[in-house]
Amino acid sequence: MRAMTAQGYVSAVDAQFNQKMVSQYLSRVGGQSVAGVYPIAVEGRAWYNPSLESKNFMIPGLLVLTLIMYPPMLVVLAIVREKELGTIFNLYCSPIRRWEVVFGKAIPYIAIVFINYLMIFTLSVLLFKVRFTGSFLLLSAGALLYIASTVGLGLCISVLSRSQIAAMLLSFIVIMLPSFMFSGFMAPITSMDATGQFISRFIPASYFMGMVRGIYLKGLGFSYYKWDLASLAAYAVIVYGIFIISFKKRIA
Amino acid sequence: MWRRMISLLRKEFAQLSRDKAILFILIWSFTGGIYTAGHGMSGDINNLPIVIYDLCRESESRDLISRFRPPYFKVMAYLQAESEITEWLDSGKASLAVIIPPDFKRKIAAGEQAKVQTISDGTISMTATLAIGYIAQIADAYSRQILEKRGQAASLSLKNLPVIDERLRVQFNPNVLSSWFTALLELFNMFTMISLLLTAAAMVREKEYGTLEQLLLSPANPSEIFMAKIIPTVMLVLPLSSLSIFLILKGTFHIPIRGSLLLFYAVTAIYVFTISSLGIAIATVSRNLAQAMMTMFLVLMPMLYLSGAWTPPEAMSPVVRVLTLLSPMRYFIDFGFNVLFKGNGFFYIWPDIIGILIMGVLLFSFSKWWFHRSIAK
Repeated sequence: MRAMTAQGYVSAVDAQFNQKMVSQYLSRVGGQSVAGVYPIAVEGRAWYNPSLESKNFMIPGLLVLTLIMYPPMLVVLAIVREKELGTIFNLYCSPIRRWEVVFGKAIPYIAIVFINYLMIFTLSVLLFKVRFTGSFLLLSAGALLYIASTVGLGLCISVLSRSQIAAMLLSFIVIMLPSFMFSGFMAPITSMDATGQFISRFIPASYFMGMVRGIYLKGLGFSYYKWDLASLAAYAVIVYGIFIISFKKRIA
Repeated sequence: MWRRMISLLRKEFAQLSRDKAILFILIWSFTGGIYTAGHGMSGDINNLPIVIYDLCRESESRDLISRFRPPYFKVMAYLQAESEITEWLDSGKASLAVIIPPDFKRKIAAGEQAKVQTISDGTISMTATLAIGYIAQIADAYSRQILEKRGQAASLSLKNLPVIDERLRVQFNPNVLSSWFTALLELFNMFTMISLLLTAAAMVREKEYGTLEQLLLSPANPSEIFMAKIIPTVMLVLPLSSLSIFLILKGTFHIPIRGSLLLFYAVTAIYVFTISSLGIAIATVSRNLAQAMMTMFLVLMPMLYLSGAWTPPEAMSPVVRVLTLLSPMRYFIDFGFNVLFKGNGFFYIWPDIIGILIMGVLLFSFSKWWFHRSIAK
């Protein structure tokens, strides 16, 4: 990584020097016929983030990552702790329905994390002064769907584990690390190989990442992101569906 | 003392082995996890989707365009109107647009400078910067070819233009495979995260169940209780790291391991002790696992950023560079790359070992102090 960056700089310096050397040499040796300027110059411009400031790139990305780091872990621990301590049998025995359990568990977390999202958003705009050109409402709608799916993902993990340690490690390996690596946070998904692209399809963060950066910097509207929103909604439906089906109530 | 230690260790292993899922998750994270990280994530540009708006449409411009090809670039479309650029970049289907002006051929023919414009998607600024560099290199190579041709036409021998022909040789990772770097870094991250999570969780569990009081009533003292939590982690992580080094790093990535593995294991053991002490310290200040986990993230993230893995410490601002000295990861990453990649011996890395040791001893003593304080209350 470092070697690559350094290599890039060396090449750039070298290329500039070469250009100068070549034009000097040509005007000296060749006279008028070949003298003059280097034939092609590349002018680079960047849209949406003209000075290519990394904060405009990092902070929206970190918003996405933060919202997938904490929520699934907290939900998973909340449920698996009940399993470990045995209080989950109170739920099994009570007359409430399965979907009531699900929403009873999920809604407080969704609400808390949504407040968290509002805080991060405020900080990013007021403190870090990240360019924000899009619609706050659209971003919030996306965030709500996204948070619902990350919390739901936590519920799914809780089905698989019996102890808190296992639950924690599992959500770490299955949710956090892949989100960090394959959501497009560091490098675009198009640059990954087939495995990486395949994995990225299963992470809600990869649907939300493009959307957040787009809304922040490009200021685009609903029509550009309807498919991402639909994917997030579908994701939420699937994860809650899996949990409701696998959460078997034992009737005494 | 040894008998007490051994019975405490037996208890810890019995508790760990109760949940078979844990072992499975650990094995996966040290094999499959590292494999996918090394393969899937790449800091380089591969098949970056670009669009081309060619206003010149002559053989010269086509010649240039034909050089934008995989593995770096993938041309998605040739545009007909300028408005299409906005559309492609807005939707994110293309990350870069190359515009070749209508006077491209004329200017080259006239010996003037033709300007090629690139517009990149600044929302992915890191990639954009890299991509512009590549494009400049491609254009540069093409320019030189034009000059050579021109020289031939003027019957000048331009075969030996005074250019610096750079032959970059990268030591220790000859093909600059980012997969080597990522895979090794991922292994070090795993050491850190697993040691932290496992030890902290084992400790907090005693609190949650209220069994910590039982341990305190036993003849074991706090240091022994802590060590009984730390040693199993060390004993788990070391064999797992061999598994990962031989099966994944050597087996699938063909990373040549140059240094002494014995030295590597010895320092890894010390490192795992340090990170586990951090886990114990976090566990002693928090009441339940959820709380401990949040604290761990608060600690883990800065530790990662300060570790020098993504930005070398030399590139950080002076204040931050001093702060990196607090991150045990910084020492270990330095040590790990030095020993495994470069094959350096003890002489080069002893400061790292001392750094790791100091952090470990400090954290361990802090836990003991805090523990005594909280019991006294």
